[in-house]
Amino acid sequence: MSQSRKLRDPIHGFIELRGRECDILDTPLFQRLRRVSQLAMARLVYPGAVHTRFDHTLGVLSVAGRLCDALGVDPDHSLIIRYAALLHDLGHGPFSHVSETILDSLSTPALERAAGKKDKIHELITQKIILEHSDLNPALATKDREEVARLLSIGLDQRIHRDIISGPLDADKQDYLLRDSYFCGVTYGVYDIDQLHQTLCVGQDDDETALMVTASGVHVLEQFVLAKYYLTTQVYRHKVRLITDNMLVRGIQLGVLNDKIKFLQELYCFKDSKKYLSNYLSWDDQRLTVELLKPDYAKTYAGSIFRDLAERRLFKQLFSINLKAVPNQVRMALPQQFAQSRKELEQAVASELKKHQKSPVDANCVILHLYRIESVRAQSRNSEAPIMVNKPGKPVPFEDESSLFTSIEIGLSEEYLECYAPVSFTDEKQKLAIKEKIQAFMLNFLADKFDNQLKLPVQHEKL
Amino acid sequence: MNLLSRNVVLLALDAFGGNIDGKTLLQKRLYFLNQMLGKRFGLHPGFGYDAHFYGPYSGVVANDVTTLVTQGFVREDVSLYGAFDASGFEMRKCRYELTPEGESGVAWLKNEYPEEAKQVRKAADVILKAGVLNYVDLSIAAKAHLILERANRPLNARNVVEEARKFSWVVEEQKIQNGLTFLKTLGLAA
Repeated sequence: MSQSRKLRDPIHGFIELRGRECDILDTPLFQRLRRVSQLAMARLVYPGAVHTRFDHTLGVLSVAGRLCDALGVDPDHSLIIRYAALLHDLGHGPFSHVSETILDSLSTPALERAAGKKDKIHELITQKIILEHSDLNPALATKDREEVARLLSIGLDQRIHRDIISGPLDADKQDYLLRDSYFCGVTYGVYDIDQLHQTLCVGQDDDETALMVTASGVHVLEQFVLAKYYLTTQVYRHKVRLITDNMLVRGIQLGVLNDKIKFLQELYCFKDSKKYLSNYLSWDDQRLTVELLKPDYAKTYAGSIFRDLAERRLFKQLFSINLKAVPNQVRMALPQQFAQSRKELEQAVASELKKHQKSPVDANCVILHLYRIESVRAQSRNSEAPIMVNKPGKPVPFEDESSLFTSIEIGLSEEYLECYAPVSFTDEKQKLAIKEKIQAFMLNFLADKFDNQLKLPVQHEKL
Repeated sequence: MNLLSRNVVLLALDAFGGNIDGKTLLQKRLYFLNQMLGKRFGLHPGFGYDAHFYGPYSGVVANDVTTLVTQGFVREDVSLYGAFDASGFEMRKCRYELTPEGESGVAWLKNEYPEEAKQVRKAADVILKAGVLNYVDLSIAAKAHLILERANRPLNARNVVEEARKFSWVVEEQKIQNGLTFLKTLGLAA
């Protein structure tokens, strides 16, 4: 077992790794994370965003360690929590969440769990790595690996252990908000982490102990939740970042389904086998990019889209429709039937574009993207449980306790339909004219498709 | 399940009479709906219920309701009480009600997804027929169900009260008994 080691980190200063944590750090498995970017191709928008899952993971270790110390977690459980922090992102594929989206889109319904919750495949992969991968054999005992896997999936004896690793105030969020802000060169995600830690406590409610904030922590919590909201709207959902992510996803999906590139099929069609896992872990951002830029793939969809990304020839946004602006019927039906209607809608846009542009656009390269930005109040809980404020007598949900948040309209949450395609415009005037026409076309097309009786007046969203 | 979870919530709201009073009641009714859809029809709406304060809680349901309110399909009316009631529940009472847009959304869903809509209706009917419990009693029933599930063996009311103490829950045996009767009617307890 190695001795302790200190690494310098721009966010948390010196990060100390102890004993077996150093052994984990030195495995090829962990070193691979140096080659998996944290924010995919966000660097095409924010040039500084070159940080990786490696730096982030060390940051999560640092925060998780501080939380364990501050909350008085016993040494045995602290150790498991620290290992879990180090191992939690091992299952990320090339370009992080991009791979996650592709794996999920190409998965079979067999992966539906009995509980009704669909497993994310990269989380399944992470579990398999932790439990089975031989790289970890010299670093961690089987019992510790099982404990870490259990902590990451269902938790250990006390809820507080899981809250540190996965929950609305977890170490992961606490790190990525600060780190992504720093590397993107923005301050949207900055919050007072020291004050937050001062006010975190272990609260006792009806059923169990949980990570909460004291009443005096409400303001720093407001800052934390707002940081998450602003970073989402300004960085994660930045217009150009959405385009680069969607180009990556579409390029790889077409590579699998249309180009039938063997190595992409082997990488993205999940199989529950050691051979699959071993191959999966041999890929990272760099290898995938280098491979697809080889002349062999120049004429494939995947190769061509990766070439566009490499040379920053990005698709353009053709419209952005806030679903609040469409009739009820469309607002109800579109999200429900988006998956099965998407191809038809993309083909319709491609046909319409042909009328307004000299060169036709391949319908496979027209990307419709439906996404939502949760209201700032919903951001405080995300898909997890609400953050609780430890008030005398009874803990209360943060969003009900904060005067600022109770005064915020719940209706600030937004859902958008956007379209990206490889078009070029001769000038600003032509760009505006084409975008207006395509948007008006799509609004009418949606109304026709989802309610033949309803004919929309042409509405112009701000472009 | 073919439906988005938010559309299951919308159909459920309709099936429970078009409105539900209180976040807790909504969470717990959908908890049991989730159980019944799974048990009777093998359907999983993806609510992802987890143990939490006040019993089982679904962040997915909470966000779905926000979405439905945002999009004008559900109206949320909030009334402030300013204090906890004797059971320590809800300072603010939220009433969730289908709007006319929500009602036409429900009509569309019933037309496009008749089978799923019928199954949601049937599951809701079974829950309502088992007894119209208030949110406190329904919460106790949900907690009892959680205890039974975790114990994975038959327990009587006294046993459940004892098990509940391990979770620091203080519940009266009579209330647990009522909860168990409710669970038995639903076929969720032996």
